[in-house]
Amino acid sequence: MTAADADCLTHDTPPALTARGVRVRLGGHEILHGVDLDSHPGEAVAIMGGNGSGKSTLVRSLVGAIPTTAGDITVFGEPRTRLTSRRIGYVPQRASAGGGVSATAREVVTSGLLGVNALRTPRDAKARALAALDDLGVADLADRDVTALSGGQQQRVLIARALVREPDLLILDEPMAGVDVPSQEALAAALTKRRDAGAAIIVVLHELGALAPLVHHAVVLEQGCVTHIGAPPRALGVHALPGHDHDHAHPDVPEAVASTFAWEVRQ
Amino acid sequence: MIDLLTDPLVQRMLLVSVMVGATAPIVGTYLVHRRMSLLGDGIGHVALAGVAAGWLAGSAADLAQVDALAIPGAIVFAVAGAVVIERMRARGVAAADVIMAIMFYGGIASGVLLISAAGGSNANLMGYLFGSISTASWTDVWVTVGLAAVILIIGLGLRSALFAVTHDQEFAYSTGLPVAALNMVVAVLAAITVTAAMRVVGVLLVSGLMILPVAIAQLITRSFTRTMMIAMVTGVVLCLTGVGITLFYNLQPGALIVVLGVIVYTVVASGAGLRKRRRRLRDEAGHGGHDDAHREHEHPTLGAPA
Repeated sequence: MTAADADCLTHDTPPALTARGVRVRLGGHEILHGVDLDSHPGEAVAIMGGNGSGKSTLVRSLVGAIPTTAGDITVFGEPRTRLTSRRIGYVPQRASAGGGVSATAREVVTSGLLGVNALRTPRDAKARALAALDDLGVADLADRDVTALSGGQQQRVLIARALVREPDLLILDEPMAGVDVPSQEALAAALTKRRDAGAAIIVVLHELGALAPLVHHAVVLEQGCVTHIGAPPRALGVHALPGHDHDHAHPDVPEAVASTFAWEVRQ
Repeated sequence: MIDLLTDPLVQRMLLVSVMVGATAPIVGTYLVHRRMSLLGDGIGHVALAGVAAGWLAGSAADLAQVDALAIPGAIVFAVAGAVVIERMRARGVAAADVIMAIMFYGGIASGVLLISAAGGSNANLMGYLFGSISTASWTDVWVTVGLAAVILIIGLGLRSALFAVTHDQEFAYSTGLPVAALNMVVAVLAAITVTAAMRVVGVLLVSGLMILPVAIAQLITRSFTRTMMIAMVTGVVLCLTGVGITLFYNLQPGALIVVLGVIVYTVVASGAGLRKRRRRLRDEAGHGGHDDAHREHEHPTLGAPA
């Protein structure tokens, strides 16, 4: 597919999410300088960009975990409120979860059934949580302490927690980070199934990896601004190598060059 | 023994012990999960200022019983303190430990100042600092029943929602849960727990009764709900044992309960460590440690605070 194809697509259904001019200020610094985003049912959009580009801040503001200082966010045509959260399933970065008391995978997934006007879990919560874990192939871990699971298993549990809500819009923040290959494939399969069922997907990614076939188009952020919307960019040079560590510096590439050309747009 | 149990004073002591032992670990479980184990301590110190303020009000109003307003004062101050701590935490005014330190020292200093202004002495505060269950009146018992009922109904009734908020606040926001209100519920429940438990263990040791049973339960189970249930049972057993022993020996009940808790924790922890080592040895010998292979592979990221 080329970028031109992506631009020519028309949508019969209203967008799952639109963001217009979203600005976010954290700790006295503006992190997002007016970001636009569109997400449609049955499509997956990847939010990409380097470390500190504002990817996570953007999705956190989309789900209401941090306040925006300006801009409009609508969810299925309505301004985003706590009420519209009912249709959203969110998978935060793994580091955001967990506390001082251990909890089982089933308890974590069951908490996904809560929401506006649902301060208590429904009667069939246990069965639904088990079914969601089963969909991701980790039903056998239901009674295990989540902190004792591997990175990939933990990620499957967090995705089960979002999917148990049967969301029409799925928002994921770096779901593939620190995840083993079999789990990556299981996650990609679960997300593809959800997308094919008509759900819209917004996923923050460092690199496309196992999700490449799923992603319809990409929004690239750089220093809190959108620098590219269209076909997914292909990581340049060494960044594309498997197992490459994105956090370390490249002394052989001048910083300005690296930040400008880190993403090669397939056009 | 039967004589003892028919003694109204002993009945009052045991009733209060059961209620406080069962309810303190409920809020304790949420506080440990949120990694705010010392919140109870911070609120306790503010409650002490409330005790002194109640004392001052009592003496100003020339009440027959000068400390009649001490407990109401403690409740008002503890709840207000909890609300202030939670608002400062939520708004990121200062780091949680700095807020707590301000509450600790501000609370105890104003307590001492207020009690001296009321014409009392620091000795009057001792009962509140270390507990004075043997002076519990029937009024105290009914106040404790009321406070315990609130903790049981809200702390257990909203268990799922309070777990969600203390486990992963970011996810809780995304579900549309009223996160700020639920955080406030945890803080206010902590304040109510502190004032209810103050009578038994005193403000200095109140956190011990909230946290120790949870720490013990944690060694036994990996489920959040079971941790809370086992902690409640442990709390009751600790309180009844501690208070029971003081009926025969002249010991300070609050301190005894906390020391018993530390002993139980140490015993259970060394037992758990021994079991773990034995299992590892067995697995190494039999190469059958598939389950534990995952456990060895722990990912500390999930446990880290956001």
